[in-house]
Order: sequence, then C-alpha cells, then structure tokens
Amino acid sequence: MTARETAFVREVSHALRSPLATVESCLQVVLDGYAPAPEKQREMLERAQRKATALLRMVKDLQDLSGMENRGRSRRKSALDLGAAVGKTLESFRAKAAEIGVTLESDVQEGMPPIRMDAYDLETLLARIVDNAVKYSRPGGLVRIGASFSRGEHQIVVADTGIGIEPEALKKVFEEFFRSEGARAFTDEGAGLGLSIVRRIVDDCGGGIDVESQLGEGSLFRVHLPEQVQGGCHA
Amino acid sequence: MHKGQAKVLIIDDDKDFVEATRLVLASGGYDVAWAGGTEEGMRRLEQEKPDLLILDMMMEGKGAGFVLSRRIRKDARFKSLPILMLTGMREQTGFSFPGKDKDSQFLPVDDFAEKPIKPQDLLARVGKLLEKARA
Ligand SMILES: Nc1ncnc2c1ncn2[C@@H]1O[C@H](COP(=O)(O)OP(=O)(O)OP(=O)(O)O)[C@@H](O)[C@H]1O
Ligand SMILES: [Mg+2]
Repeated sequence: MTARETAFVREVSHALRSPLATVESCLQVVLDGYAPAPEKQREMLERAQRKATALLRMVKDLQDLSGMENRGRSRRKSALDLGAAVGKTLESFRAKAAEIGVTLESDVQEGMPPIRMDAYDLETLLARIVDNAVKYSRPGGLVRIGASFSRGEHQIVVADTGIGIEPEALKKVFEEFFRSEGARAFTDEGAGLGLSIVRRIVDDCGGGIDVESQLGEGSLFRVHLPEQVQGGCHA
Repeated sequence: MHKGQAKVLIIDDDKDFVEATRLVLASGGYDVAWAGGTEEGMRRLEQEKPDLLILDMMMEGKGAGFVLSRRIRKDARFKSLPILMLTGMREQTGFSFPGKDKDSQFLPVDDFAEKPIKPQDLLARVGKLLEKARA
C-alpha cells in the first residue's frame, strides 16, 4: 500500500470503529443492567440502532467512493435529461426541506442537450450537494438549484442561505471525512463523505466543482461537466 | 459506595457513548457532567471543578482530545486533575504504557483505555485514579 492508502485505511477504520464502540457500549449497559428502567433500556437500544444505521450508510458511501461499481451494478453512460434529474432530486428532498422549514426552488434552462453520464452517478451527485444545502440550512432558509448549458458544458449550481463554511475549511470540504467545526456543532449527522463522492464523480467526467461561501450567510456549489470528453464519463 | 459524590467530567463529542458511560458512572455513585467539544470542555472544567476527567482522544475526528490533554496539563489549575483518556485507536499515539518515561510527556494522562471499555473496567479505573489522587 502507498502511504496515502495506508492513511486512508487508518481513517476508515477509525471512522467505523468509533461508532461501533458506541453501539457496543449502548448494548452493554442494557445487558449488564446499568439501565434498569424499561424506557431507559429502550432509549439505549434506539441509540445503538441509530448508530448502526449511520454505520451502514457510511459503508455504502465508502463503496460509492471506491468508484469500482455502484453497489454491485456496473456503471453505464447514457443520454440523460438534466432538467428531469433536477426535478426528481427536488421531489425527493421536499419532505425533509418542509420538516426543517426550508424552501426549495429550481431554475432549469429549457432545451438543454442531454448529458451523457451514468444515471446513478448523476442522481448521486445532485442528491449529495442538495442534501448538504438542506441539512446545513436553518428554518426559513432557501435552497436554489440551477441547471444550464453553455459553451459545451452543463452547469449545475446549488445555492443555500445556511450556516456557511469557515474560510479555512473551504479548501478541505472535498476531502474524505472532513467536516468543519461549524458543521459538527450544527449537527452530528454525517461522516464527511458526500462531497468526496461528488468530487470522484465529477473527476471521472472530466468536469470541475468549486465552492464559495460566507460564514453565517450561505454557500454556493458550482459543478461543470463537459458535454463530450474523449472516452466519455467513466472510461 | 462511599465515593463522596466525586464528580466526573466527560469530554466526548459522541453523545450516545457519553450517555452509556454516564449510566455506568451513575451506578457507581458518581456525579457526571458532560461537554461535547474542546471549548465547551474548557468552560466546564472551570465551572464544574471535576475530580476526574474522561477524555476522548479522537474527538472531532482528528485527535482534538489529544491536543486538549496537553492544554489542560499546562494549566496550573488542572495540574493534578486525573485524566483517563479513551481512544478508538491505540496505534495512533504510538503510545502504550501511560506514566512511563518519555511517553508521559508525549501524552500527559494518568490512564489510557481503548473504546469500548467494559463497565466494570471503567468503574475500576475511575475508582483507582480517584484513590490515587486523594492519597
Ligand atoms: N451547503 C453547505 N453548507 C455549509 N457547509 C457545507 C455545505 N456543504 C458542505 N459543507 C461542509 O463541507 C463538509 C463536507 O461535506 P460532506 O457532504 O462531504 O460531508 P457531510 O455532509 O458532513 O457528511 P455526509 O455527506 O457524509 O453525510 C461538511 O461537513 C460541512 O462542513
Ligand atoms: Mg453531505
């Protein structure tokens, strides 16, 4: 293994081990009788279950990140309707946004040419950026998704009015397992893998992603994907 | 139990782990306080004046507990506060025997255990550290 691979494996094992230790501890206190009240026992089991769910999600994310295959399915590029994909993503986040009190808006250019990439990759890319925009928003916030085509490139812009990103954290957000201090304080939901997966997909397509943010005001992620790369996406 | 209601502060950003640990310590008659991060931890140390500190080394995903342990030791007010460091990964410190030779400088804690720690083991270690501090 290269030094980078060794470091990654160490990070992965820590990221998995720490919540697993918590699952074990929550179960242990129930089994050993440290939580005598039935309601307390139930609470500890629920805590263990939530952690197990998060662990499973993390493992799925690591599979996505490995990029070899999408959860057992090989990737295939096809001509996709970006506008429709944006619409579908918005629909899937309606309930979560409503729960927090966040408004979702989209601005999709008409008559865009189809985008050639793997359907699951496109869905994942949109979902992970929008997931962040919603998750790091406060009640009353606004999330806007724009999709357009110009000069041979598709462009996707996701802007939110959420908590924003610390200037020193901006260049790290695409690193595996990175979560900014502000994000950690805001919610303990997340492993810091979403944007690494997004970056992997964008890189595979020969595209680019960048981020602008004002702490406390909001963030803007901009993805551009070239219409046709030599060999196409995911050669 | 005759612990005289010793107070234990836990600094750990995993609130589920903290709750499990709190239940175990409460069963031993300890008073438990909690902080979820470095700055809150420092504030709580000052406010609560605990008799013992349980610190998660890998807090905030990057060894914030390790950095904090050194900061606490440099603070005259907490020079003799017993610290039990918990970690998910021993290998990351390159450290194995607390309190011995140069390692105690490197990681200035009184005891060191891997997560998850068995309830009985936790109670035994906490009891021992407090006893030592009182002696
Ligand atoms: N829209 C956003 N607003 C504020 N911070 C953001 C936003 N998007 C990303 N970040 C910052 O970038 C970090 C990395 O994002 P990423 O999606 O990789 O991880 P996560 O959302 O914390 O966890 P996961 O995606 O694994 O559930 C976040 O923890 C947060 O600090
Ligand atoms: Mg995310």
